[in-house]
Amino acid sequence: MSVDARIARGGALAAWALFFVVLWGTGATGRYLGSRTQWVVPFGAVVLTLAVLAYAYGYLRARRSASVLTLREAVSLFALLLPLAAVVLAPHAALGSFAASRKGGGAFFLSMRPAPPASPADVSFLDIREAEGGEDFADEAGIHSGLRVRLLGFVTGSKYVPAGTFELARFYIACCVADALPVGVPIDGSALHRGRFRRDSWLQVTGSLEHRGKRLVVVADRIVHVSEPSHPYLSFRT
Amino acid sequence: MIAAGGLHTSALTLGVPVARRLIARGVHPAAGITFMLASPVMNPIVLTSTWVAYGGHTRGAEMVVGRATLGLIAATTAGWAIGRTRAGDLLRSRASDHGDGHAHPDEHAGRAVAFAGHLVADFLFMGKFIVLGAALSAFVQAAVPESFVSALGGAPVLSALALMAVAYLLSLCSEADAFVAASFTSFSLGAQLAFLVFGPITDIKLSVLYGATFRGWFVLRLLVVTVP
Repeated sequence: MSVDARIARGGALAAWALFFVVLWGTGATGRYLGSRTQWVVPFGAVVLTLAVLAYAYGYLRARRSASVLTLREAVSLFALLLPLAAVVLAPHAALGSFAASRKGGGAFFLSMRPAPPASPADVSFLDIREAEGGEDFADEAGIHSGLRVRLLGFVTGSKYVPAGTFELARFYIACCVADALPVGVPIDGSALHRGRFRRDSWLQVTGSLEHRGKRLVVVADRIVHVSEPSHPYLSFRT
Repeated sequence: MIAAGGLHTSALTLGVPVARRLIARGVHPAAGITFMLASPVMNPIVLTSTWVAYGGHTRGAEMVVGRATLGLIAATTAGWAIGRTRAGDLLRSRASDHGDGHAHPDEHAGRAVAFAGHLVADFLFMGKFIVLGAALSAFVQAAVPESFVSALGGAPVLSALALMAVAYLLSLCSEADAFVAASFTSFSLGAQLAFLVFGPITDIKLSVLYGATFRGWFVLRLLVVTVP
């Protein structure tokens, strides 16, 4: 059985166009791209859709005889569709504790200073880590011992935290998931007699900040298991 | 061509098919290569990201000037050193160049259809190599922990080479790599600059694309010219 190569190519192109359109329509872009690059999705959806329509028009108008799809080209097209297959098979795949252990502890935050949160109640993982590194930022953001915070993150299982605490983290991305960096905050759940949580479990933690050595620890007075948010990654606030 | 590369503001990989088309249509290979290597760095988005990643002010400005200057030097040097050849000796021939591979739109179908045909041909050709390169890069990121690299931060020359190797393996977009470079706090600014200049020139993804676009000697010569 022979397949028209032009139809196969058009099909591969249409699959990618459909992927971009679905991504745009469902708003799931945040699962792959940072806020500053999400424009790529609507742009790609429009351009690829127009390309598919133009290609289809050209195919219908073509006067050349059909070219048969070779095995080599079939393999190439298959490779091109593999990422789409991966997304379909694992639509909720996200970076977790394993990636966090590979990517380090986000030391860069000492050199890059984000804009302070609008109010102390909006304090995020990044703000707390930044406050650890600089008193100026801590003063400007209103971050100090006793401040009540609420954080939503996943358990990393990291051992590089003060004794008696576990690390809760989120990934921050600038461009896309490839450059994601984990930012973790130690959580002390001893007051709730809760100190052990499964890696990669998502928790919402409410508590007060406390200085312990160089780290700011959240002494939790409420820990709730939650499901993974639809947008698991955060973007830098600029 | 450097100015054109600056206005192009493309992702790293898009410069490759554009440069290929330019060279195939008669632009001098040196100019095409310079454009391809300059466009990922010499554009306002990347330079602004670099400035932001290093906290703005004097430090950010220094890194921006350093990155732009070294990127300019590397692109023009590579273009001059590698581009002194004919297009036919530089580019790999593709089936579509001979008209019997990808279908070309009917010549009566208009420019829009012709444009779409070229766009589709490049998308389908380059796409598989980008997928392969991205898969390799993802594997390396999962297999090699960041702490492995951090240990090399102290040595002056070795640290720069180490970060260049990291840039090659991570295959990051030039619009975001400055944030990652800034995270290597145990490395000198010079080593971080090496990361920022070398990464957009070649990495795993780009090496795969170069291999599909240019003759076999291209990547090796590019490394010989740019690493020092």
